[in-house]
Amino acid sequence: MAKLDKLLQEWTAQGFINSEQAGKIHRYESAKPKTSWFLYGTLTLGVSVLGMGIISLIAANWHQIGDYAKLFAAFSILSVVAIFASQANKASKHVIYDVLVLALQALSLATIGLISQIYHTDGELYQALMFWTLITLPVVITTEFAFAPFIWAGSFIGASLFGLIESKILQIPEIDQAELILVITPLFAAVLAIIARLLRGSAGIMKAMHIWVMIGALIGLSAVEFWSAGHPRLNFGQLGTSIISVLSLMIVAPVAASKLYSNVQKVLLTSLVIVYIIAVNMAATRLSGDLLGACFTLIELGLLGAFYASQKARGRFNIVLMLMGLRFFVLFLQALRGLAMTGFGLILSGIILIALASVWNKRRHQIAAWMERITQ
Amino acid sequence: MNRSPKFIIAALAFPILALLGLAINKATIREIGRIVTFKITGYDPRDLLSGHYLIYQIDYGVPGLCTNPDVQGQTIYICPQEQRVYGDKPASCSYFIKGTCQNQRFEAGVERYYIPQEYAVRLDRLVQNKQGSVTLSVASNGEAQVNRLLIEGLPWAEFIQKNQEPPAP
Repeated sequence: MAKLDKLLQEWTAQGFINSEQAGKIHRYESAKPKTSWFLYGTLTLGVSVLGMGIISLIAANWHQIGDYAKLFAAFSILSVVAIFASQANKASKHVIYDVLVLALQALSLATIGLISQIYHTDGELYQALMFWTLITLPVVITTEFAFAPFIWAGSFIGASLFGLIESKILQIPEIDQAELILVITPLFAAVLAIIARLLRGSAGIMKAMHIWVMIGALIGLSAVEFWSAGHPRLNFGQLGTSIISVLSLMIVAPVAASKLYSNVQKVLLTSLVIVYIIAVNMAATRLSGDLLGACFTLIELGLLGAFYASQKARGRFNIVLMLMGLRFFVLFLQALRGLAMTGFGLILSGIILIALASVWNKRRHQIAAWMERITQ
Repeated sequence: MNRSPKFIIAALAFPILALLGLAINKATIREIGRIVTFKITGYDPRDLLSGHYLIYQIDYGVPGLCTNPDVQGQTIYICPQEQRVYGDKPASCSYFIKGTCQNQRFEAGVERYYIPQEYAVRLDRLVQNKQGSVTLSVASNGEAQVNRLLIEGLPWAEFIQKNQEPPAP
């Protein structure tokens, strides 16, 4: 509210609004229900711990209690939580609603465990997670905050990728399967983020997806750098290569066709995918070295940072900038072998970055207009 | 995203109904299936979600089951009474079990039995000693489900109760 008061004072002083309008705006904003991050964080932690406790309790296998009694208890608790969540939504208590959805998610997973225990089902954990993500998807997309979608997206990505390995359809050595998963992770996370954006997901869903894109990007780029530093030739097999191609297309095609992205953003996202595929291929075929691998990482982070800047996502932009700074430091240590030379190199890089930032600040409208022109 | 009250109610009800459907499906196979018993051998690992369980191999009494490389990964039907394997549902068999050959083992989704943690080691030992068997409920389409774990012909809990081990010195 302090920020709003300051703005209202400024606007009143500038004559944009009068004091009566400022008072009305202040009353309207004050009457809005406030989101308590402390409350949401604490409740979320409480529900998460509670959920893990229930899962552990079920895992203890209370064989003295009858199967139907255990199932009745599980479904009763699920129903009560769902009813309370519905009431919270009606009363516009969004924090409580989101926390109850999280509880429903945890209880649903616990109930899957209970059913598999009672009926001795012979499935794998990734299958249970896949089933869980499918049945909880409708309720997750109704949430406003990031935690429930974050857990959901992580489980979905994990279950899908492990399912890919377990299905044994890849027909490549196990080591190559693991490496393929590392390559696919950022692409898969990006596809989910784009689907969420196209379906106009809430701010919380988008935040969760972007966190996974960043985690995925770190995994993928780290893998590429590791391979670039010296690794036997990689073999992703025909199906693996097809999966990489299809996922890349699933990023580029909908973005290109969508009006939700500006032309600059389209160019940046397409470049991100193309540079990533080039980096993966060069690392896989041993054409890349450790310095080239680092350069690819910096280019990718630069493109990602520019994309977040174009979205005016300040927090994400700053995280990417910090990662770039760290990578620069490590790059100079790698390349120049010594702190003194690294110091000179970093000073030079810092000057270049400041110069680039100044040019961007002065000429950003011309650059953006130029990019818009070349993409039309 | 859609946050209309109707959509919210449907979204909240969906996981409950899906889980209820799963439980009913499993319960139906258990209740109406034909009960058959087979000898087993196994070992005890752990599932993060559901606790301790025994993994075992069922002796269906079919010689050379899944040893043919051509049937690996394929769905087959075994007829324990005839001690034969079929590629399609066998009309001549009074009951049959549907499964796939994986790594030269027949898997019908019934190779796991959840047990309480405190009995895991003992039950594992008993099963390793070939004292165990399982009763399966087999549906008419060949889908099977584990019903009970038996030790020397008794339900495992009854066996444990009747054969209390002396406390460790």
